[in-house]
Amino acid sequence: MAKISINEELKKFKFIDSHMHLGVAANTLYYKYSDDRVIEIQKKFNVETTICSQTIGIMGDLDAQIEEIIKNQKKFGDFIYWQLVYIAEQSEKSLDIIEKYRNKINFAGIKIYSVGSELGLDDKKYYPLWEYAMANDIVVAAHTWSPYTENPKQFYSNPLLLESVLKDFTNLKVLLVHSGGKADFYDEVIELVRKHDTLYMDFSGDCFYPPVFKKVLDRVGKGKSLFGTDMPMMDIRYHLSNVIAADISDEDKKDIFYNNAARLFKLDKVY
Amino acid sequence: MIKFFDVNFWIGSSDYWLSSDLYNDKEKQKDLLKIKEKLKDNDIRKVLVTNKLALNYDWDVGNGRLLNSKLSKIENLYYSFVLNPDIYFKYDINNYIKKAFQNKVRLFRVFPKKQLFYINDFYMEKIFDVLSEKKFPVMLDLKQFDITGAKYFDINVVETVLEKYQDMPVIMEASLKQCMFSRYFFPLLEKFENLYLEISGLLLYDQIELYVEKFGSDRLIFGTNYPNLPIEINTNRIILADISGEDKRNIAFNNLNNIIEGIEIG
Repeated sequence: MAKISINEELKKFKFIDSHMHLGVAANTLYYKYSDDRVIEIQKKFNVETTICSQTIGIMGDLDAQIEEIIKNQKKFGDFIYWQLVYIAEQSEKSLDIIEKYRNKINFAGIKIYSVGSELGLDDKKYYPLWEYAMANDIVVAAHTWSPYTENPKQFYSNPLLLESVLKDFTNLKVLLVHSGGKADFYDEVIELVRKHDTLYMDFSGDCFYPPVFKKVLDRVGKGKSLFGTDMPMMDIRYHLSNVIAADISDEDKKDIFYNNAARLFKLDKVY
Repeated sequence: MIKFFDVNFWIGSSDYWLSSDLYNDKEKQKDLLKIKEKLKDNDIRKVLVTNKLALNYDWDVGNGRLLNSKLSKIENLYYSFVLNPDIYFKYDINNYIKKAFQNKVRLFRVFPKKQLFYINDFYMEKIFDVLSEKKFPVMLDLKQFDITGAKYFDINVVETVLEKYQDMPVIMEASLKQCMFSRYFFPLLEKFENLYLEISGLLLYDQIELYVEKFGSDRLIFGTNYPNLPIEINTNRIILADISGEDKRNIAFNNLNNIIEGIEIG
């Protein structure tokens, strides 16, 4: 049977990017960076909606985050749905901003980066967030990473720390961003998701391991895996290939590329 | 259709047939067919194969097993040998390199941090002298110069090699997360024309496109880093790149092919 080209494969699908950013990072040379080009690439590859947080907010400037979102919402309209950042050390301010702006922007949830705060995901400083998110049925997108890595700070983002949190907040919806980030850790994360209905996985980041999508389907079931890129840190073209290469049906790929995110973020556009 | 020449295809590991005598010939044959199939399915027309055993156990044993394998039956398959300063007192360097070339070796790879030596030591200088004279390419992994373990690399050491051996093509890989390392690569690419970047994991958005714009497509070399990465991840990245067809062909095949054809074994 003739091999189908990647261009033909991609024509079968449309996409929601469940995890991307606008903005740069201090440790990386973003030669000729522009928000416009990041969005242009997404649109070129048929992304219909993208879920975005502003990096400047993740790095701690919550006010600048809002300025950027307002500017970019004018520019990019309904293409982008926004995650507002919660910084544990600025808990009250974070929640005030979220409460003030969540009905004024295309709001898709709350983003946390516990590595930056150097606080474990089970730290009590996150409890005001869990309470607020659960009370308002808001999805929290939490950066998660394997604790078995060279960088000890990633231990703060070990998704298994959420086990104790979910005992106290049983209906808390958490998107495990990167799903722990490493193929040799995925099994443990999948087991965690199997035990908790309110957890979801995205496979953005720098790990490309197509068999994981079948593993999730076999062990947990449908509806749990979301397509995400982590743009501009990662190029969308790698993540498209990662899902396309998976040994699963086109229907399951449609769910991963689009439907699962549409349902989780209540975007009302399942196909 | 784009055809590829893969500079970074690994075989062998602690549980893989080439590293072990546990498997019988029938199973070895099956694995050989799998490799052939994989290359064909992904339009990889030429490949340079490295044995992990040469990295993890012993350079000479691993390299030797590569030659004694049935891989030689695969057309357009060449070998890359792991290079180590021990060559200096174990073999005559000139003869060793000549013989390696006759045995389809077209690249040497160096792992100083993993195998604990200094890349500019007395022995390595003697080896590089010969390789440079023959325009024989060498592949370095940036991570092997991460002395701190915090991605803060000893770039001066790399510069010394590039400066001293300007006739020796140096292909640099960084295993993963090259997206973060452009601040190291940009000045090196500006300064040294003998430096090339292997593309597997040039992960930042538009990174390949922007390198082509700034330095030209002739400075990038296609590699899959298989099996650490799925092959399609990198073949598709080139197919889907926002660059001209000629640039794609240069990166996918021509640049490496030109380097290999430029070896002057004498």
